[in-house]
Amino acid sequence: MANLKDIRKRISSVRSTQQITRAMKMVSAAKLRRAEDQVAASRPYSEKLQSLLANLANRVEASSHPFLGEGSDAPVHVLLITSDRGLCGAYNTNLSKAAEAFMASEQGEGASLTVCGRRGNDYFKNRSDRVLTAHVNVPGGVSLELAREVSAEAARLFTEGDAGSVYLVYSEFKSAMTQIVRTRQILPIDRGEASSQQDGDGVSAEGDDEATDYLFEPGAEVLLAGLLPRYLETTVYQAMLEGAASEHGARMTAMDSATRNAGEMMDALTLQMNKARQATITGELMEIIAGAEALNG
Amino acid sequence: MSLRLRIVTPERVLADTEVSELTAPGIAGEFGVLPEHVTFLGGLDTGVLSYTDANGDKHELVVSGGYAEVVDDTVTVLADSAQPAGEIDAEVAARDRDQAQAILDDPAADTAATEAALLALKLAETRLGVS
Repeated sequence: MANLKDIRKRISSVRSTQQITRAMKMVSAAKLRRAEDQVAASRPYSEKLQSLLANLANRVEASSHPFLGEGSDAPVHVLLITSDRGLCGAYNTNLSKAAEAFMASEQGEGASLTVCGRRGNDYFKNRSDRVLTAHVNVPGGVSLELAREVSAEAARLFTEGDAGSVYLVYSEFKSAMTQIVRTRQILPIDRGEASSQQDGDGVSAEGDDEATDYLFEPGAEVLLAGLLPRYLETTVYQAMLEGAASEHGARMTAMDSATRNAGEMMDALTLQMNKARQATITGELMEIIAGAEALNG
Repeated sequence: MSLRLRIVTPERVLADTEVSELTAPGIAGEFGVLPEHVTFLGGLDTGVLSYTDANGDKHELVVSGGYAEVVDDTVTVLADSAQPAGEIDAEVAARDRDQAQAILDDPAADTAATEAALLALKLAETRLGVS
């Protein structure tokens, strides 16, 4: 049986771990709120952009811009968005596994990979030689600049024919408890998707024939050519923001259960310590009584 | 009669307000919007966007690139970046200008960097112009 001193030492070490996990939970909760605000703040832009795109895309031929085409038979390119920091439960593992499974599937044969986030990069570093670029420990975390850089890179691979299509693997933020891993095609841009989403929110915009009377300045095709890369950027940016929110949510949940587990462990250890203390006292009493008995006898 | 103006950037919604008129820097030249404007979609250049709100106060913003859409007296400006005149830091803008100028002066810089620097220079100078 462990002696009293050892148990006390363990209790105090569990207690300091608990203090850390509790602090991390608080920090994540605050960061989560900020990340959620950012997701909400970027939504009006992407919704509007999407409705403009749907509007324009139906007006021009698919062949007018490479992003709207069919893609080619070249291998796919996967864009994986993970976090730089760990201690957030299964968040990064789930994402990395999903990307790995996708690349192992028939569709993902020969796929190349771009990783955002140190965790995802660490996962693939020793497993795969198909990582083209990794954006690791980017100062400032998620930013529009980073999203622009990443999407420009993907667009370049696509237009130069090195990638037949581009998929995004990211985590959709549902709540602090639930994050859903999503695999989504971002290039070529699916015109059907753009217009169907338009139908969902755009009753007022498309309600009558007025939308057909747009005056374009410059022409629709020129506008579309500028709009498509922006749409791509926004998609990537939003995925990154959702990813950041998911990361903080996952960390908050993980740290919450870690704090709880530490509490349970402390209770169990305290019980054990009390038992040990009791046993020592009993043992000492027995000795004293036995000694007294011996003297009397 | 008034217009509803929404200025949206990827990072935030900058304005959602009633205005009586606005002037924006279009790719094909500056344009003004008054109530009952024709349904319109235009590209934006780097420049100053100004509008007069319902109280008659004039506001100025520096926008860089993006789109302006006018439908049913609602103007939606989707800007790559937008900064109200009051938020512009002249020192930062001056530093950006000097940085961009340095790249332009560097004969070794490649085309992409030069193009980016040209845009940055224009943005910084516009910002300095309003601040």
